[in-house]
Amino acid sequence: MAKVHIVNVVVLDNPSPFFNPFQFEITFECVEDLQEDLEWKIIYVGSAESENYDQTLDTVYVGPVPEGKHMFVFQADPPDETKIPVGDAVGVTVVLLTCGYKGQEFVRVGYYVNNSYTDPELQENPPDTPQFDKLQRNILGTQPRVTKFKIDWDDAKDPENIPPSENGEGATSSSQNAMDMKATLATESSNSACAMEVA
Amino acid sequence: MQLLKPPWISHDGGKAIFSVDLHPDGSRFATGGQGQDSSGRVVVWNLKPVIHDKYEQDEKVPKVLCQLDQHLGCVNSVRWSCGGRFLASAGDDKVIIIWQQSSYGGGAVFGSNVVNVESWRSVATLRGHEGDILDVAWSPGDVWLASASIDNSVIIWNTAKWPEQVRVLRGHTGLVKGVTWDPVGRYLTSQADDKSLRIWRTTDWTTEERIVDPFADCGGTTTVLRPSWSPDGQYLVSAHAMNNGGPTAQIIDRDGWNTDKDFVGHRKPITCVRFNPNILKKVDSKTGKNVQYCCVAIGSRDRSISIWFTSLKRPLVVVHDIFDDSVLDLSWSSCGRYLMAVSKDGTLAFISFSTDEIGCPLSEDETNNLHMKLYGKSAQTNASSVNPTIIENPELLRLREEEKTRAKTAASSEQIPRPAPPTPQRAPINKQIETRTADGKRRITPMFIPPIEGVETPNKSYEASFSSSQQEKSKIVVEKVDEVVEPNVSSSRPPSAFTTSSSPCKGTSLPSGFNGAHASLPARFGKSESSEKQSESQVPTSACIGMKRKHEEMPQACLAVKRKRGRPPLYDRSAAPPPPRPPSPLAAPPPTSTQVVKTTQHVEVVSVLPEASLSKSARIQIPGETSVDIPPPLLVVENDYRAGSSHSGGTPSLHRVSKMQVNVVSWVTFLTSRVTTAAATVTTAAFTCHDKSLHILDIKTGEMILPPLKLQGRSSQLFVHENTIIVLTTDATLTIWDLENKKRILSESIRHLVEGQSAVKSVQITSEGTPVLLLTSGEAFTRCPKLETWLLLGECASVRRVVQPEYTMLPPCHPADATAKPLTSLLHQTAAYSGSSRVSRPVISDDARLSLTEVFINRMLTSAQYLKSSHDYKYWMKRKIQFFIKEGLEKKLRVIFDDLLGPNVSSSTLDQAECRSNLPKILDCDKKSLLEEFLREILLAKNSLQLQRLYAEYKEQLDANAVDMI
Repeated sequence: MAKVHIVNVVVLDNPSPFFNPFQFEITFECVEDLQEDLEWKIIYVGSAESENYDQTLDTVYVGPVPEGKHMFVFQADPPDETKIPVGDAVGVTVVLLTCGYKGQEFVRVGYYVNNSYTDPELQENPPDTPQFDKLQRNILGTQPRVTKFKIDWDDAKDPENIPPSENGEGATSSSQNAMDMKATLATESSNSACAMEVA
Repeated sequence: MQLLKPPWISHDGGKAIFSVDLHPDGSRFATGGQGQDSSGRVVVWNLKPVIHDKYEQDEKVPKVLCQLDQHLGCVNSVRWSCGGRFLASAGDDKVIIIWQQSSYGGGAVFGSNVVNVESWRSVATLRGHEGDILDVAWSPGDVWLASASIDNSVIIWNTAKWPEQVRVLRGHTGLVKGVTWDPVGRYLTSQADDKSLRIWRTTDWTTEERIVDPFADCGGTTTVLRPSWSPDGQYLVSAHAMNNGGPTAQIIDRDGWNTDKDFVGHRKPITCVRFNPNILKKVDSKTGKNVQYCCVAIGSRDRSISIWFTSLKRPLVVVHDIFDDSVLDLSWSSCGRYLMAVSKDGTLAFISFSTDEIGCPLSEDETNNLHMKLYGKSAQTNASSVNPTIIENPELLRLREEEKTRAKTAASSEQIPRPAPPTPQRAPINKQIETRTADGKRRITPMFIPPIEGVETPNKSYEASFSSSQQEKSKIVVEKVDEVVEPNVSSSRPPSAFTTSSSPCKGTSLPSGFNGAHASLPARFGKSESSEKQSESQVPTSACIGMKRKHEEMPQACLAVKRKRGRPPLYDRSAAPPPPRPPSPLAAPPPTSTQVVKTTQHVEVVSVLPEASLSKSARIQIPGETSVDIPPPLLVVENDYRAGSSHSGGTPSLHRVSKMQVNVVSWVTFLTSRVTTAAATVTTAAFTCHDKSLHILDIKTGEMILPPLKLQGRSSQLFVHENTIIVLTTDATLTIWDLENKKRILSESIRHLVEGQSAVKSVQITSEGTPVLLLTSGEAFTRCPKLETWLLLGECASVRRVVQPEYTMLPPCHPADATAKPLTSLLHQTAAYSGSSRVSRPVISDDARLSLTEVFINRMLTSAQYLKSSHDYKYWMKRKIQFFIKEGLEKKLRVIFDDLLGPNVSSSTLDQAECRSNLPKILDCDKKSLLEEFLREILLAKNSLQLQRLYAEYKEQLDANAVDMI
């Protein structure tokens, strides 16, 4: 079971000019005292087509984290505009807020981000080289996409969460194995049911 | 009778629901099952809209009270505690979560459309099972919680002290699929796939009865097997049993556990049985007499439910085809008029009865009276007396009290000053504090939000701000503290395998302006495969770089490695870091390839350990009287102090060794070969050079005590203790010299010990002069001079890893204790015995684990005995006794106690134990006082009452002995 759950994230200073820093006000709840710090990251997706343009805007350690509800504001500088492909400057992209514990990411919150010119003239005839200082960033804060990952929160207590050593196929987790087992149970049962009815 | 299937009760649109339970106060009910993807879900529902049409239509009446998505695997069982305060849920993620309503109030579930009216938070997470948990059950009076798992065990949890385990019940040889308590808490029943049903006594947690006959023909074809006890306690009804080839629910009579009756009629195996919690009464229409009976609901894989009265031979009602798939759980309301059933098809059925149909429930007092009359005990009395047996011996009572006060005073008087555990300090509640780490990253101490008082008022301000965005900037005060801190994170770990469980808001359309989103963008919300692959492939890449670099440095070595691919990995490892060839001033002609192979082969065979190397300049603290004002003197090694000319015959490089104190050089000496290792004591400085020489100097004057010693090989490690010098060469020869007597103590190859191991951590000499070898893998060896061989102290890692961690804990050790507790201080240095070892415990059978735990403790005892350490011996003996007490192994305890008691009492064991038990002492501990001390362990144990007779017996003999002595 995850020890940390995001209770809420409020996107602040939104919409705002492109060069304003990102501000997320994060509320999370922790079910028991954490031994180590949490590591939060903001990743800006520079281009939908390739991860090579992803920019990690900032990484912060958050701790100590005792049991209970906590809140903090995570501010990060805007992306380096020179690393964004020209064609991707204007339009919709994604910003990711991730959290990890003991080097393992356990939750990822994704938001759509729309960068657009506020000036109607520029909207009509966007310049060939994007004018970032005239862009407005709008984060779709009401529709976060939350993805949780199963991680090993305790080292010794939870042997089942230790990543399997095999590569490739080994990546399917133990819980999926358990599901498989259930599936085999089910098929078994249907076989024997037939047998019973025949008898 | 009314039957209803509320369409709004579902898990994420039709995922299987595995369990249902109605709250004892009739206000709500919980379901457990599958959630999104492979995760689990628990939902707390409002019962009102199910019962009343009016509330169902009313938008203001919430249907979902709370959705809990914390389980990472399907939830197989949800059960409210009898008192209704807690909810236990358990599932495929091998944990049980105990939920309690929280004062934080409700709120939206972040990232979903669900709004929680109530907030339930986990008060405990119970870990212990090694496999999926299929059923849980609270004992009457909520004294215990039992859980059944596919790891073949049932665990009894202490509800007063989470997450304490009262006992692990082992015995089933197949997946345990259901548990139930008898209504007075005297028995626990578990049903398993091993074609058996076991009845356990709660007094001593042993098997009262194992019932196999009705299950002989059963196959493991059901997801669950939930049996149930009748509320009057007279009958136990099992899930899937077979009679004449047909599936039945077996009725087991409490009287003699007879199995001559069963419920017949279902066409497929029975998955779950649940008795109406009330004993019911009705006036028989024919005779006009009052009849008392119990009512049971039976659910089957044939998708039907049958309801029976114990007073009727035929079922009250059978509902066919109520589901599209197997029935998985049933639950009655405490009033007895409502029944709920859930199915794998993801739906819930609700059946309500009138009092005429079902009968009138007996009052609580009447039920208790009946229980008292039948069993001399009721659920009420059970709650008050947690201990299953009474104290029989007044002496024991007195001793218990004594022990309590003694423990109290002891705790208060001998408070050992030790560093406090790193408890996180309370965080600020009005601001966040930001510091910087050494690498420039920020470390934020978040603002703590105290719980809101009062359950009934959900905090509106939070609700309003859910998943939103604001124009305003943050109002949280950020206090920047100008100090460099160390982030509290462990070194990065390999990327683990992830199970994703994403919860994007489905079916929500994006507002205008976001329409132009690239089709591949949504994929980025999860972890894309390519990124994972990338991170995976990064590891081998960097390894390759490392290899390449080595390749450049020493091509010959790499060549050899390549050639020897087919060899066992052991050799590969030893061959990987061969010592670089010495920079010979007389440069040899470039060797031909055959020669290369020859020489490297030679190196490979000889060098087991890597040669040590010191960086260009190294400082080693010289021990001695340290004072606050003066920094300790240093032994400074400066390799390549003056670089030599590379020409052949040119001046060789000079390497300098000096002693410095507060920047004043006491003495200096120069060498022509690189210094590879150096060590210093109060009297001596020693260092080895690349040319296989060992230099020993007087630390005060810098004079050589002896001319340079020529070693057999290059030095891998060097240790100096007082007057002994220990050198471990790359060919794994360990040589020990006594400087005072100018004598060699030992020179022996320890290749067999270190080969395949990571490295030697240290070599020490005990006060008796025997060498002790510590390996980085955690093994410790001592050399027995008489046997002329090495003995393993403690236990090897493979056993240590499987032993229950509470028994591998070493006693605390202070440096001052080192001579009194040699074993402890040694093993502490290996740092491999701590209970919270990072290595995962391999899955082995419980019996094997128990046996290995005993083996482990015995090994520790033998080691302690060998080292003649009475402290260590006593400690491990105590652990052994504690272990036997916990597992209730009375016979084994007796053997120990008999031995300690001595020969004059235990005549039966006289012959075999004569030689040992005649001695009044073990090491230098008096056996009698040991026995006295160990007997006290029984008192301190949680299950002391089971062993109280054992205690009384030995205490009596001990006292009698003492009188004889006088």
